Amino acid sequence: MITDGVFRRVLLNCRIRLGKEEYKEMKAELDKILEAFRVLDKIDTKNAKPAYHPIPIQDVLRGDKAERFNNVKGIVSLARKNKEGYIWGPKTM
Amino acid sequence: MSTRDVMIGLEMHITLPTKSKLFCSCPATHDAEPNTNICPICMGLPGSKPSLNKDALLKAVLIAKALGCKINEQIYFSRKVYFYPDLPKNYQITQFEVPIGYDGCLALFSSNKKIGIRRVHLEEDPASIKYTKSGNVLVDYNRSGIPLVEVVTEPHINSSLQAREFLNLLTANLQYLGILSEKGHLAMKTDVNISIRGYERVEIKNISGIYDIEKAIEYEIKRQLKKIKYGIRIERETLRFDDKRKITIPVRRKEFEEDYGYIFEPDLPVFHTNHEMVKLPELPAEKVERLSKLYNVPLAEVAELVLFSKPLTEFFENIAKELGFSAKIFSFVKNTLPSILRENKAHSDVVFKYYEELKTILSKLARGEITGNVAKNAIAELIKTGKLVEIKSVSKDLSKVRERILEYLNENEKIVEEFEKNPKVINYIIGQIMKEFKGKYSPADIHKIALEVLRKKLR
Amino acid sequence: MGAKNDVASKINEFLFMVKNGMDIENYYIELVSELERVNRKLNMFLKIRSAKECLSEIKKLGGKQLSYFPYSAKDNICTEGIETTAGSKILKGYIPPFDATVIEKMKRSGAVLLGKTNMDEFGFGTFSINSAFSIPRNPYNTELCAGGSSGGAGVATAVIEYHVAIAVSTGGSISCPAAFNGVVGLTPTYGSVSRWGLIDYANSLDKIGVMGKYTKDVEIIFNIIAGIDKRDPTTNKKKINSKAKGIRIFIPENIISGCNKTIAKSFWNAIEKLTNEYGIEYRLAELPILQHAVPAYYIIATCEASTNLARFCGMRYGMQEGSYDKYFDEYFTDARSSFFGKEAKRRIILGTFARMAGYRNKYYLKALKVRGMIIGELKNIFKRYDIIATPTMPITAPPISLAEKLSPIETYMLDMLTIPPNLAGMPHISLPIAYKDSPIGMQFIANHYAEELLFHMGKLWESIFKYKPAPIRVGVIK
Repeated sequence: MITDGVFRRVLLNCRIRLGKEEYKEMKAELDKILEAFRVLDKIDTKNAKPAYHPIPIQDVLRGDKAERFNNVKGIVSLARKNKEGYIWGPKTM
Repeated sequence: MSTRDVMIGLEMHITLPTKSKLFCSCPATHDAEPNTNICPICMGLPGSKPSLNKDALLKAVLIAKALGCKINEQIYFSRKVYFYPDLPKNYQITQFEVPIGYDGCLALFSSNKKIGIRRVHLEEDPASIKYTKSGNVLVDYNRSGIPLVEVVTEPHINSSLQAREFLNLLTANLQYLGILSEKGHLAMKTDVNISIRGYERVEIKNISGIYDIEKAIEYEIKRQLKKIKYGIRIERETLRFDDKRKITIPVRRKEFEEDYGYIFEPDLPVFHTNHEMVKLPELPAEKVERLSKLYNVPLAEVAELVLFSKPLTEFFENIAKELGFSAKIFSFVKNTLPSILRENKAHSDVVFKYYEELKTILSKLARGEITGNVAKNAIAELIKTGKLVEIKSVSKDLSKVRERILEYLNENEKIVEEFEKNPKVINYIIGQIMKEFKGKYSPADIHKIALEVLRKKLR
Repeated sequence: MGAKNDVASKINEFLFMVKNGMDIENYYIELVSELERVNRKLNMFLKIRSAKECLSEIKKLGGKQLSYFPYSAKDNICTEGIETTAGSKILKGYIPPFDATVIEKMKRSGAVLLGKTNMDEFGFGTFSINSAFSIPRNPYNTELCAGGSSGGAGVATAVIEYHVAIAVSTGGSISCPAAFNGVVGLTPTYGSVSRWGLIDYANSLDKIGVMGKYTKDVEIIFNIIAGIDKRDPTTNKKKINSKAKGIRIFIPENIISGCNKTIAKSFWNAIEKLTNEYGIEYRLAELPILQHAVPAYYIIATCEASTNLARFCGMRYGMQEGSYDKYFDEYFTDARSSFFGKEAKRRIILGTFARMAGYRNKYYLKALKVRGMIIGELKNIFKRYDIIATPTMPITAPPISLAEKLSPIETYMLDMLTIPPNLAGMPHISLPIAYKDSPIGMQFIANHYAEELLFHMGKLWESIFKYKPAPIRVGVIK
């Protein structure tokens, strides 16, 4: 069971707003999921190493060569509003 | 309260001079039209994946090694999640758990005080933002993905003066590593963490330029001391530096503290590093030691030149190798040449462009054949026109000088009496004679003759 | 039908007909029209290309390896100039400015893209009921689920006579719809196919794979799309020696017991049939660590997914609505709350929680360690055995109305058979073994890089078991 405080902090962090009913439902379901996940507490991972990838992958590097992308226009045209080449956005103050 | 009670830690973000960005091949130039150096990767388009720039990795290891850090043999990248319009993925690829280097230090020249380097790591720059009149953001993603190295110090700095010294030393090191060019301070942004022992820590974000950093620290220390004096609580907060008013002001507070929720970057592999990947060039500390010993010049004076400018130092070293050491040349390169370059708006690279011509001028200076002034004018002319003018060496036939001095003293009998009272009057006499002969003779020679003549007269 | 090889293959059938002068243009005109009609009922495709587009592509191609063979791509695979939504409202109208590597490779091989297939939003689901647009229907009984998250791909593969589907699996999203629709589905080794251009669900778990009517078709396509790609630094490959004789199968007893009776019965029948025919040995034993696979998977997957989906905030591309005069936090929250579906929100919330300071060690880092241990145990099994066999899903395709009533955790637990190989990045194939109310599949898992062994097993199975065509068929050549 996670507290309302923690749940609300999670929602703020991931920028998701829930309606009253949605909130109740989501939180109850999350609690059930975390309850089922408690089976992980039973396994001893003290000496285990974390597996970031299922197969060890290493040292893939790219040479420092500048190359322009061939469809810059295609990227800029995706934004709803541009001004003199800059992409519009909301306010920060 | 001792200076040790002020604890300052610095976090520098240094732009690496690579050709392409950190995780994509977009050109890493800084003057392009907005949103032209972009691709799916640095725009964070869904489906894009990062790929690490080898040169950026090597440069980061180089910096870590130069700062005396231990190098992690296996390094990973992390995702640092926070939402902001300048972050295309709303997470930044950085290094959280395992940085490139840690546990290093840089010793200040003046006091040999060691400033601990906590960590050195690689991360990508966000985009750049400007604002419309109504306060909306206008974003240019050209800067998004440019490689940055972050250097974090321990809070061992105790004053604004020490901070300045540290930053000068750091930028000099970065110049000798080939990371920063001469106007290097512009490629580095610094966050300052200040606390007074026993009180909360305050962060001043994003200050450019060593002068402003010094001012910010001075202001902030004063501000905090005042609060302590009046028993006002010091809040843990984030400030920014207003560079016009030279004061620190609070940044808009968030309702909640963002949790970065770090995970390992699953689109990148683990990277193996080692000390042998990079070779350090001679760094300022070693160079100052070596040149001081070699030419028998005090450490502090050598440090002045070495820390001030890499091109001028290299120029001086080459000249000294070819012509032999000359104190006159050393002093000229250290003290006069910089102002000549500044006055003529020339980049210090000209010392290499006109190396042979400068060598000619300086060798004449060293032999006393020309005065410093003549050298100065010749160099200015060289920079303006690209041509070396005919430099008239001073004449060594001093008979005319002797003649004129005798004449002059006979015309101005009172001066001899004044000289008897005040020996400094000789400088006035020399000045007059030099004016008349228009630099034909060196001031040293004129001085010698005048002194002889005056002493004879007084016997 | 005069196919070249002994082994059944729809690709070879088609290529044979093309070689013998089939009217390709006419074929595509009729195919597209039939497809549009049937799609209205089955919701396999989110976008079907017009006959005109297909034909203009055909004109550009020319007698290459796959000579105009039709294929579809799951809608989380970027196709330049063609809307790509990943099944989500937040990407409605998104036109990628580049092709995924797998699309480039299929183009170069001469295949023709029919359209983008329907899916659970961003891959979040087991029944494709989380698509923001429509729910794909099982062609055997349209009240039943098509499986997920590559539901549309599964239905398309069952229904379209000559076609392969490029699909994606994170926790079983190729195997499940393959099993529910009675087709073959290959999920290859992690990193064997480039993910460049794949809209990420979970980067250390996503794999691009293939669905087709026969193993041979899946093999042909795999060999075309696999390969190192410098644009995806996680691509890797290794040549290993494949076995053809003396194959030994391991069956993890404890998870079979979680399956319903119909599934278990069909599975054992198939195993008996196969092992008797070919004298293959098999062994039953418990593998208790597998009970930790589902939680470990969901924690890692949602942690990665919650970061991958952070970029969707109503700026730069996709759905961009609402006034820019809002403070950015509000603007982002409004966009995300309006355009993400319920399951997407749930997984983002779960993933954000599991990597938050204070919880990160207990959930995220712990799950990574459990994954390491599971991989270790599976690799141990592969020291003495060549194949691990299980049913693909513990249930048959449920009615859509029932699936919608399941709680999230109940739904997650249904992935218990497909999650272990997905978590371990090991290649696995789902093969049809029975047709009840809807088809049933069995799963063969092999060690990393052992796809050839899976193809061998598939062909062995197909030589003794005849697949049934779906009740709805499109593009049949009379």
